[in-house]
Amino acid sequence: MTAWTGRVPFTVDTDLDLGSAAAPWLRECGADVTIRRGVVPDALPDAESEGVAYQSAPGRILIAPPCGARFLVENGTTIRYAAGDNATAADVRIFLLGSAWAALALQRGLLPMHMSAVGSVGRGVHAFTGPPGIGKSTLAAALGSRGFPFFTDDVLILDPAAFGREARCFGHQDCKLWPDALALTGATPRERVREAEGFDKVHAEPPRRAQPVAGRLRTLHALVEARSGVGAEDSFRIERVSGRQAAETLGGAVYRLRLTLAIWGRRRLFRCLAALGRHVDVFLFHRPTASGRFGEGVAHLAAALPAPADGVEEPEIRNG
Amino acid sequence: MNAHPCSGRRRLVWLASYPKSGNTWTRVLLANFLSTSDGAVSINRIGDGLPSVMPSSRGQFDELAGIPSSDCTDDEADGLRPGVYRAHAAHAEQDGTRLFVKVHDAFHDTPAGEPVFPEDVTVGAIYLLRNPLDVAVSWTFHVGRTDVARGVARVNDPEAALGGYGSLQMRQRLFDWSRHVESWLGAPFPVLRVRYEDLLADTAGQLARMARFLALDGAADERRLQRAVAFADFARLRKNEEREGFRERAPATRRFFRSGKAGDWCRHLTAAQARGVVKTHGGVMAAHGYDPHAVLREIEKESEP
Repeated sequence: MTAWTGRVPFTVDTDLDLGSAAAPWLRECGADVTIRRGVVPDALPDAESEGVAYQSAPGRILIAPPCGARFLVENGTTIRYAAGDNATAADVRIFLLGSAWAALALQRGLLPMHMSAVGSVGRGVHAFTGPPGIGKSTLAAALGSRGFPFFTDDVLILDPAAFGREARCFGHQDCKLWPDALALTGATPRERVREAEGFDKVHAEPPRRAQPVAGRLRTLHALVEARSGVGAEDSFRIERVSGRQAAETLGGAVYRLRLTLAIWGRRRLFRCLAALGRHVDVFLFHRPTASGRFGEGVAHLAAALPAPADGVEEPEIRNG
Repeated sequence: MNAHPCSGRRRLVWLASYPKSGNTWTRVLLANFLSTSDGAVSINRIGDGLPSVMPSSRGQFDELAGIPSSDCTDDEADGLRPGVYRAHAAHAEQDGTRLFVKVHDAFHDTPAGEPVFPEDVTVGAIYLLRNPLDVAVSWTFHVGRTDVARGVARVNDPEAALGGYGSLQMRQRLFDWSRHVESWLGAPFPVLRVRYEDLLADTAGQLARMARFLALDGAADERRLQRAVAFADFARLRKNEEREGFRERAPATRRFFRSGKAGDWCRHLTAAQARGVVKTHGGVMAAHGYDPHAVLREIEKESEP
């Protein structure tokens, strides 16, 4: 189903301002996907699976975040949204570019992964995964100061149709950071992600941004909190993993595993992850999480990744 | 005391406490009691013996909610939590299991007025209670500090909370110590109160109470109880942590299992700090066997030249 249109796996025609990060995906006519304000049902009567804020039926996924907005994603070709009484345009945008975008990708045969990443075409994409809040986005933004261009924030989209040759992936580069992360990364704050009181997360311009939104995924580092025994200092360590452990790490990085299983089925997903594993080197990055040591972690990882020097084509992995 | 087995949709056991009141130790005890393995359950694999979920985990929330908690306000996320717990319970029902849920929140409502911890999927709650004077000291060391004024301020803070915006953990509203205690002991489902000090004095006896409360197999099996107590011995847990670390340890501190004693506050709190805690919490302390007058006498004795 995936149609290659330039650098992105699908194009979008929308009546909503999605911000500059979505610009490569936008077309005014002839787009693969239409996004329009419209009537969105409260529920899907034929839902076959559901979570607290979503329902999935054949060809349709309803997403209802608590801000009051609702999204109906249909057949990989349309997203209808309703702002409700309370949701602002910023609220609609944030959940559209996150959960609804991922649901759309799944319907189009693409696999959204819970990863932030650095890199660019020709040099490979290097991704980070881990539990929400562990610092994936902060790390990806901070690596910009060491020459690694920011590629994607929180969601990385893979194209399984290309797995016979490579782990082709896409990012949307909408970097969102909390104030403490801004201070750690040197990113420049732009507008607030949401207008809700106390919600201080902002869209941010990382120190360096990748121009292409497509690339070849080369490495995945799962961020793990280092907890050494008593008496030993918590230390940074990168450990290459393979076999079952690598497969579990990749499986744990699927964005919304339950929804993916509901739409794709277990066999299709596991075959896809097995194929992905043939292209991606998987590591565990054990790191102390005390904020005072954040810079050490960035330096440690930067030293392990292929140097982002100009003229280097698809460099080999140096760690592990 | 009636036993409360899990049945139907009722699958969740809340292990609730103000932080630093023996929750982790209790989980280790229960894990070793329920474990069928020959050896002790590692502190880093408590879930092997005790099927568990962590309400503070953003990962578990995001997966069941289907949207990222980090894009929700803390109040919005609270509003989805009852649904997340019902989803956990539904999966446990499918699996025929009971889930133990470590909770540091007070028992409170969502912004829409629904209890965050839904009664309809609850087996019951074990509420772990500890002298707030010791809680203040233990909290201070837990976050890698030595100025116990911070711990005192925490137990007295009516708006105290953990986690929230930008944090690895979801927001957990604690309120102050007294409100926390009263909120859980007034919850609309069976609650077993277990005092930390009683757990220290008679670990096997208190574990047997918990097992009876939850209608666990082997609740009267003295050998099984003693085995769990031996495997969860505080010195053993400290050695376990020394050897392999503990993933629930706060980054800023060196050790999670520190002292474990009752009455440690005498060595760390000033008279003014202790009086401040007693002034704020004396009523609830007295109701649960922490004699505030004895505390004040102790302070005066220590203050004598």
